[in-house]
Amino acid sequence: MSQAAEGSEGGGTVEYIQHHLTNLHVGEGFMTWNIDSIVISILLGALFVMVGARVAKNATEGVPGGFQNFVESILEFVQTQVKDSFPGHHPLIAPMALTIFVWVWLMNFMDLIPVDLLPLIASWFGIGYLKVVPTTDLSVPMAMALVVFILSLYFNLKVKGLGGYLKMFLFHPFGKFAIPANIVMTAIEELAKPLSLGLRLFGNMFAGELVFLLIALLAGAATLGAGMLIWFPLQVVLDLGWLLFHILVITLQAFIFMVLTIVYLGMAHTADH
Amino acid sequence: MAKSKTKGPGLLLVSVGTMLSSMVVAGFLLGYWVDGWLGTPPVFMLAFGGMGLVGGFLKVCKLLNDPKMQ
Repeated sequence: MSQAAEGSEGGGTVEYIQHHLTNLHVGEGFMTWNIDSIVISILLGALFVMVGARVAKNATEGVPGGFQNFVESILEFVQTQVKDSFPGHHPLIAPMALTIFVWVWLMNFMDLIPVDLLPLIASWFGIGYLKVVPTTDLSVPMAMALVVFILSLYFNLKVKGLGGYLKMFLFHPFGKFAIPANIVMTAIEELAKPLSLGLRLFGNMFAGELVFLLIALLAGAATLGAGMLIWFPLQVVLDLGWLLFHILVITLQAFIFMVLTIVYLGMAHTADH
Repeated sequence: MAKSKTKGPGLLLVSVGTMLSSMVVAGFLLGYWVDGWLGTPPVFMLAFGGMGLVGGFLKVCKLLNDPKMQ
């Protein structure tokens, strides 16, 4: 909120939003490395692994305790989704679905931390930029979608064989009399799957973050003059409302990402398309 | 297993909206690459974008009319 007060004109607002939407990065162009996204996503992944390992170590066979019960319910939920959506069996799918669900949820959860808190703490240590939600960085959702795309390519080639996969490209939507159109159409269709997967997650989280920033700006303006303090109760109400709503959004987005991954891989894993 | 086969694809309906738009985007992107490769902008970008739109509509219709999705 202090950063919002830096500029009294509209330029300050724009600057504030731009500041919060800029990654801490090294390199330029295609070789840009967004350090904050990489570090935060790895830390969250490590947290997930550590908590999981701890629960597994302390797991009891009898009546599970509170946290073990919670973890087991998530496991069961993911397992049901995999059973419902993935025909056949593959040892990779269920662990991957669980990882995607929990990891994406944790990355989305960073959105619920007050927008200025972590950048402010980082600024004390001389870090100028910090974008705390990895899923609002287009590279992260698209990288995950790319992995799903590569996996679906692998399953396609494994189950249908190279010939079967090429046949799908040649004859898929319009039959054997429109082979050039079929190739383009199937290529577009295959490309659209990871695109929609990554863009949906990115779009929802980016928009959510932007709304949080706009709400934060209300009280940011209040530091300019006591007259603006009348907006403060409004900010509290709006922030709380959007926060509660956003808990649903982050869970839903993590769930959709997981389910569509399973469905796409399931489609690749079946012989008929 | 019969039940499990219906429920999974049913969840694809969640993505119907974004599928339509991402088909158009995918068409434009593919066309953009082909144009860069052949040096013919903007012929393929427009053509593939149009095909993406048509394909997107066809796909959405197919998904929504699929009895498995009901």
